[in-house]
Amino acid sequence: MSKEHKYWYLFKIFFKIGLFSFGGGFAMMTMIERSLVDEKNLLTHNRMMNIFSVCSAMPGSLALNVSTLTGFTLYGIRGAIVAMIGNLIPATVIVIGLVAFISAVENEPLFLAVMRGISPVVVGLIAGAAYRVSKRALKNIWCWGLMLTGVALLVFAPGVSTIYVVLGGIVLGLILAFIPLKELPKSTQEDLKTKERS
Amino acid sequence: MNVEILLKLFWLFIQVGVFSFGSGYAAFQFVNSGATELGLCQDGALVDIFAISGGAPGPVALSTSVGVGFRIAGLPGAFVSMLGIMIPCLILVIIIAKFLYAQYYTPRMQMVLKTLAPVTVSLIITAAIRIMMSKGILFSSQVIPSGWNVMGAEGNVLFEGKSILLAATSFLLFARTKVSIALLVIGGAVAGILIF
Repeated sequence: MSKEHKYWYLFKIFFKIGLFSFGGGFAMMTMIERSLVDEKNLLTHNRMMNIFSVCSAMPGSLALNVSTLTGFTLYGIRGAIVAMIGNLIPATVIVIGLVAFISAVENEPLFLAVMRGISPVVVGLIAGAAYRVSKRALKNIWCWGLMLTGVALLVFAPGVSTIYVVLGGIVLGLILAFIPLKELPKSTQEDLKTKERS
Repeated sequence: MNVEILLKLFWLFIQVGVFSFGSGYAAFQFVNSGATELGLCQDGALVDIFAISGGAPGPVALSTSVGVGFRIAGLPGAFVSMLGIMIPCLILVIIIAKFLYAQYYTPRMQMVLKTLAPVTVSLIITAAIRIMMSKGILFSSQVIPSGWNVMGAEGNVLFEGKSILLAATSFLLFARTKVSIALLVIGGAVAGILIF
């Protein structure tokens, strides 16, 4: 692909994601997976998952951070800017329209019905994203335990915000990195062997 | 146009980009209290914006911010808010990305990323649960008037049948077929008009 083409392609992908991803950052995951991982092979599953992990430790909008970091991962700073702008244009235009006509829209049965139809679909898609990534991310019982602990804390413990859970994961990872368990270096070696294209 | 208001908006959204952690819902709380403190609006005046900005696709934090900027100062306000959200995001992502990819293949970074993967799955599942709880689908205080609501003891919705069926359909179509996601979202909108 020539230079113009790759940026234009990235812009189109993220414009489309911006247009059809309702319900926040994780709702984008299925679309990124389909377009950039499955169809174009520009990212590996692992790399996509890592982008989401890193972005959930960052402040600001998850969706925007994911777009920008994905763009950066593919094509550097220009890629970051292109992906970010592609992602935010549809949202910006549509929200200005909605707020401009807020009195007409707010209690309109048609708008409410559309939103009530879209919300469950988004829930299904997010569940689909979790299902897809769990095959790779939850390889053993420890991973399952960690995941279930995270859900339990986030859903049932009031006042435990996302960032504490993510920071907990980072700290745990750093601690594990210093414990020389027998199987850990091996899996790391495998990862190094199957080095991803960057 | 009042430049002071635009500068205040810009400053507010720079802060959102740097200090708000978590979902767009957290960002909205930040915007709401910040805008009130800066004297840009009265308390509670922005709640309706949050209610409909979920109706726009894309980043929730961005749509609430642009919505609030537009309400307070028109198109220039929307533009300034958008820039305020973009600039910290771009700078932070570039800093983090440089660090991440410089360290990417070190065993330590791989271990941290590997540990974070299950945590991220828990965040994904929580995102789905939170949407259901805020939209009257599961364990919610909101009631969908035309839904098949199964009520709990304290007048809360235990679950709502139509939405659950729709969610299950979308999950199965996504997992078992190659139907495009855009089509699923449009299908959801049409289904919503037909059944709610």
